[in-house]
Amino acid sequence: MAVKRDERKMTDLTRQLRSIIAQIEALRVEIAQLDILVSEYRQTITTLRNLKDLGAGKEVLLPVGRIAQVGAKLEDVDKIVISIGSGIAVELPFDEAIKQIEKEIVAALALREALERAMVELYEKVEELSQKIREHGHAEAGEGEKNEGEEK
Amino acid sequence: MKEKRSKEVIEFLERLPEGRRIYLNLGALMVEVSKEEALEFLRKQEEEEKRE
Repeated sequence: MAVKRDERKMTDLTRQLRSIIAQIEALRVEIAQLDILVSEYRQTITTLRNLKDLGAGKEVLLPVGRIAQVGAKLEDVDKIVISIGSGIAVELPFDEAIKQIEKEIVAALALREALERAMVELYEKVEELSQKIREHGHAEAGEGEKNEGEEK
Repeated sequence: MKEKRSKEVIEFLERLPEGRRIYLNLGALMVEVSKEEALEFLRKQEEEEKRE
């Protein structure tokens, strides 16, 4: 009876541990996606600044699908159309547009920090559970040795 | 989270000075709309999200 209860406890601890490890993995993926997003935002700021420096009238190549490009003339880089979410994009003056992207970067980094904190907490839980599992394993082994001694 | 995002976009649009162009993303197309049209679209979207 006690053995069954011990087994159930061990299974339960292992299941909890697996679930936490899966959560850590999911957080890791989300953090990696945020890193890509932040890097894309930074790249966008650099590209916009470079385009502004080049100025109006410059010939650029406009991508059409993955393989083709057509020539176009750069007109006005003083106004940028920025996606603000929910399928809406707005035209903003250059500096405001850059500020908006920087705000998005700050928000993404804040979210990244929160996810990292959550991950640290989960790692602590992993350590806690691993300790419990080890203790439980030792207790079971001790019990087994005791029973063997009694049989002899 | 998505609902909150719509709310934030509505607030952003309401604060946006007059005369700024606003576009609606429809698949690969971006259609120019008025502020009222954009707000109407977002409110409908918000209602649908609440219903879901």
